[in-house]
Amino acid sequence: MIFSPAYLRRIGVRVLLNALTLIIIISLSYAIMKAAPGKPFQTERNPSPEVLAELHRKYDFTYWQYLRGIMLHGDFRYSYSHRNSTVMEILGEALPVSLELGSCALLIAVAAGLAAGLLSALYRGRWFEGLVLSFAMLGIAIPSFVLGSLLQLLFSLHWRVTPVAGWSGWESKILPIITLSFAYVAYITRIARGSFMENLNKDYIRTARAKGLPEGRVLWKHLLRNSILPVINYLAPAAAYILTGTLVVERIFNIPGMGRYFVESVFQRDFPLALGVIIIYSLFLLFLNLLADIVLTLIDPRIRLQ
Amino acid sequence: MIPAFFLIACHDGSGKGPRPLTIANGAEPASLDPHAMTGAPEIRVAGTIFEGLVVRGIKDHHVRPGAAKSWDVSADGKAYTFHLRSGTKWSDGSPLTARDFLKSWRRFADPATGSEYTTLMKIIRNADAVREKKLPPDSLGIAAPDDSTFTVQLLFPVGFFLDLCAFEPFSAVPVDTIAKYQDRWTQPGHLVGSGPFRLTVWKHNVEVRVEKNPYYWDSADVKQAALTFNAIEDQQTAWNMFQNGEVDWLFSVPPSRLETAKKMPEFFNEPMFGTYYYLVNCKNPGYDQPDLRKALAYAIDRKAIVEQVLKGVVRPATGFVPPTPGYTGVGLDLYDPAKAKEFLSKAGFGPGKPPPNLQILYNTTESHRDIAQVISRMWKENLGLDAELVNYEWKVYLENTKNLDYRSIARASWIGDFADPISFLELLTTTDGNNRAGFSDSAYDRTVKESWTLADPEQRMAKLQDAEAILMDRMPVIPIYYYSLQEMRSPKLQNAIPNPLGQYSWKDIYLAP
Repeated sequence: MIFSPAYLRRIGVRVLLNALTLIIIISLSYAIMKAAPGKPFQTERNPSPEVLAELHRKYDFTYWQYLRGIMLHGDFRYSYSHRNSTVMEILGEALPVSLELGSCALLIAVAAGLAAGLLSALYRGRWFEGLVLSFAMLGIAIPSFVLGSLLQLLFSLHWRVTPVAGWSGWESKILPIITLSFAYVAYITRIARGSFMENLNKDYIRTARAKGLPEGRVLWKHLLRNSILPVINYLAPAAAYILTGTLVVERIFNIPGMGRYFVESVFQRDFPLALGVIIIYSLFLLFLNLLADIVLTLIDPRIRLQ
Repeated sequence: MIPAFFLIACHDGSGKGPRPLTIANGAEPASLDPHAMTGAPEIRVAGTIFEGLVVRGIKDHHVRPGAAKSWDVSADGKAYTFHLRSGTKWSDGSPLTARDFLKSWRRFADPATGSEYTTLMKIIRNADAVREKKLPPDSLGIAAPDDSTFTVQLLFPVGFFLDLCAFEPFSAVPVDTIAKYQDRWTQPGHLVGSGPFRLTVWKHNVEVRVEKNPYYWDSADVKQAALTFNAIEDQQTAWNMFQNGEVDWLFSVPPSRLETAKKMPEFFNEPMFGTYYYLVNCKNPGYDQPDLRKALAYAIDRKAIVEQVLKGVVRPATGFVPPTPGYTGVGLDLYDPAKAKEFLSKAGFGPGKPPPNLQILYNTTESHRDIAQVISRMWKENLGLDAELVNYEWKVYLENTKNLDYRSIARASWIGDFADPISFLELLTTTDGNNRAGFSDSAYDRTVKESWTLADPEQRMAKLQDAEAILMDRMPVIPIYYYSLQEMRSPKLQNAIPNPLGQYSWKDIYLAP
């Protein structure tokens, strides 16, 4: 058995705590939104008092109504600012797009970051290491709106090989995915490089090499398995950052993802939509942290036995 | 090593047919229900799928027959009888009759529908009482004595009523379909329209696509097969897409690109019926004096703002009402530093004794900030006054101006609902819901009120001009510039002729091959 009963119990308690955390998040968000100045149905052209009263009658809800709706029926209610759509419909369309964008970017970030980290650790002191490190520095320093606009300028307007914006067809997805992954490639390279270098000097690697194991096996079986833990630890927050940080990339490349609702719903005082986005993001964050914990346990028996 | 849920395939998108006329429509339409619309993006789409009794003209600013083939106006100008075409159909092929207009307009007037434009109906008999729930919607002053006749009883003999009939909320909407599908009626497949196009695709935050409606009465004259309204919020992205030929028509140019755009043949710049102005809080001490308000107004060099900040694509204001056909306007030169100083001392203020809390409130946007900075410098130079700049995010700004919860000055703008001066002048009457200056002047109220009763257009316009003259003498609003349309258009775009409000007659527009 991989997981001990004690470990399973620990996971169970964490799930319960996560549920509690979520309720606290919803309650706080609800309270903050209600306290914020500005009214959802206030527009530049003042609606007449009678119309305003009707809108409130139709769309308003109390804290308990909301909580009950979510818990019992999974009802996220109607959006205030997109009047004919439910929050569920809106996010149901946007979430897969953000997930696709985010997971592709993360995948590239992990693959490229690990490769660059490994190579720069193996070829220490050579020109290659300098190249990787400067690249990593650039990745961390360049904001995505600059990189995105630059890529658009070069690939779409100058060479005309990709569309400027949109999210249909793989050609349109290349630039946003690269833009989004760039900074994470850099982070993962730095983390992986540090971890690889640390482990390369360990006795077990020397032993493995001394007993004549092929280098590929040493790297794959021994080095990678031990060095990847910090990268996996970083993946949960990275996935969360990537998902919640798609706003800028979505805007530049006009991608119909979740990011825009994160900000727009708050500006519009679209309470149901804002709460919906917060709930989805929170669920995602809590789930990822739990998952990272489980994956770490699977890879590293030492954690399992504790 | 990689958790399975990250491995969502990056699949290929949809197939491509011949490209329709593609429009960068700004924000995602909030709704396609003509009675739930609030902004330009949804009004544009609604204009393609719904049609009113009349449609906007493209040769001149007079409306043309739409669902109604002709109409009669009574001698007193207050009763309209529309004669509908026979055989007009909805986009599902079912007959469209005068009764549909009856039901649509009642729905529009009903406060339960929650339309922000309901107040436009107030010129129709009993509309106010219906809105205030004192009378049921079926007591609205409209009738459909038979399938092809629709009559309207107005309270006032106002000619702009016909322009209103071309405005999308006055279109026929499928009330039975709405009853059947409730909030889901605007989805493709459910939505039944009356316009030259019908809704085929609505992908949220991506596009709304409409295709030619074969049941439209004039479909033989509709040249464009399909239109796509892309939801693109970022102006720079839209601009890049236009440069790359991905969209044919942009409704805004990023401010940083205006200089470039102005030199391009694709740039389209036309006056528009809108004013950018500053509100003065007339309820606050000091600012309740017209002389102080005029001092501030006359110290603003509008020409400099237009040239330097706005790259010369708009016109300096010479009154509150933008120029419009049939209305001369007050045509004032509102920049005169000597006069401004005079007004200031008459009000009892000066550099040594500044008015209390001089502050410019604006909603957080770069261009508003730039203008506020320039104006505060002009007040400093011409009047020796220091103004504080304060910005709030949009919804807070709206709340504060609506409740007169601002110290002295607040930035504002207004686009007329119809091309008539009353659309502006009514704003500053004492009881108007959009009077955000707290202005109340009995002579002004009376003059505006009198204009409603005049059937003769010339007399009416003269009366409105008197009202505007009073307004500019009291100066509760400080006009700054008149808006303009700033578009980028493919050279192939044909018949895209805006009315003064920047609205289009969609049935005529097409992309030349």
